[in-house]
Amino acid sequence: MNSQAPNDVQSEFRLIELCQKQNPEAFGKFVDLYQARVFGFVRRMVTDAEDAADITQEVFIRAFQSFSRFDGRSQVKTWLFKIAHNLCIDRSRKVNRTLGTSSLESSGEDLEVRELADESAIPEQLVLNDELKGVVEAAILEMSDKLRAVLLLHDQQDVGYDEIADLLSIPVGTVKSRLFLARNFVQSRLSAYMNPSVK
Amino acid sequence: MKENQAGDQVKNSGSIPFGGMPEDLDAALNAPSQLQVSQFVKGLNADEPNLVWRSELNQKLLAAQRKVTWWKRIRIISPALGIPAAGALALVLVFHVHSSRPANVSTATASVTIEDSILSVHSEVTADREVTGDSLDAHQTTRDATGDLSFENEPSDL
Repeated sequence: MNSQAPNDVQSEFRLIELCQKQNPEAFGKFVDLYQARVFGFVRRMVTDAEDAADITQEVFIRAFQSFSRFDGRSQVKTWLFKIAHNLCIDRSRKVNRTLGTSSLESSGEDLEVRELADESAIPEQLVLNDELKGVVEAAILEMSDKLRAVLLLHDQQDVGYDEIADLLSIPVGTVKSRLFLARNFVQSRLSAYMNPSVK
Repeated sequence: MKENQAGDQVKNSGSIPFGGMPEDLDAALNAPSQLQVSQFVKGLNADEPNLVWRSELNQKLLAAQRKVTWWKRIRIISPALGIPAAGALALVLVFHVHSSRPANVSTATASVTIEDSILSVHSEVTADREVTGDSLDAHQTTRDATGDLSFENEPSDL
């Protein structure tokens, strides 16, 4: 996905130019290109599917309104994910305020460090079937927003370390450590699933 | 190669020390167990929003576009119309101020002048009649600077 053909890059560049001029047709194509990726990210960042759909719509509306301000310094997908991430965090804060619970953002990291996986418990040739997918999905939902965002952006959306650091306004080292912890958290859940007797 | 060795070291060490991070984070991230999780995450089902969602988005985008177009028009039109509009406004204000002030005064003076003039014409005619009698016409009398009446063609021997 990162290695786009030159023609693809040129056509995307042209598409972005047209979108910056508020061309509705071009923006329609832009939505076609990115809707699945943005929705895939948002749906795993927020638990409610309806909220995810609303947030994804809001991402594209904001992108349309502020496309003229997109300076091209970062990739357009990074810019889109930044909008999506900010909206997810806003929504998460709102939900927490309503429910009167502590912020999801602040939870998890310390806990997750203590839950480092016993790697030997997971067979290397493990095939990801539907059941395991469920375990992985549940683990992703269970971890903190901070870890989840980095894991999804890097491993699912192929966003590089530097771009994630720029997107989340954190150092690259922090991106790497969060990714490591997030993967370890998933691993710990997989280990528990594979070996229920071992805690 | 080096990364793989380091990755193996992380893997062979069993687990990461409690509460700490591996020294070589890049190597740790390239450990097979970490890459396996990465593959799992990548392999998760890709979701795509449905057509209803897309239709709703199109409507919202249309509304947003109208809003943007409206603002664009204002932005484009305002500099072009700004100077003439400001000029026109200034003219209106200037004329309004000028016309409103003297208007009050002139209305007042106009009403005084008409009444005064009617009165003065009446008193002049009356005075002329009193002084000259019916034999002289009004145009045959003149007033001096003090306002006293004198007679033209006044006989010198009187």
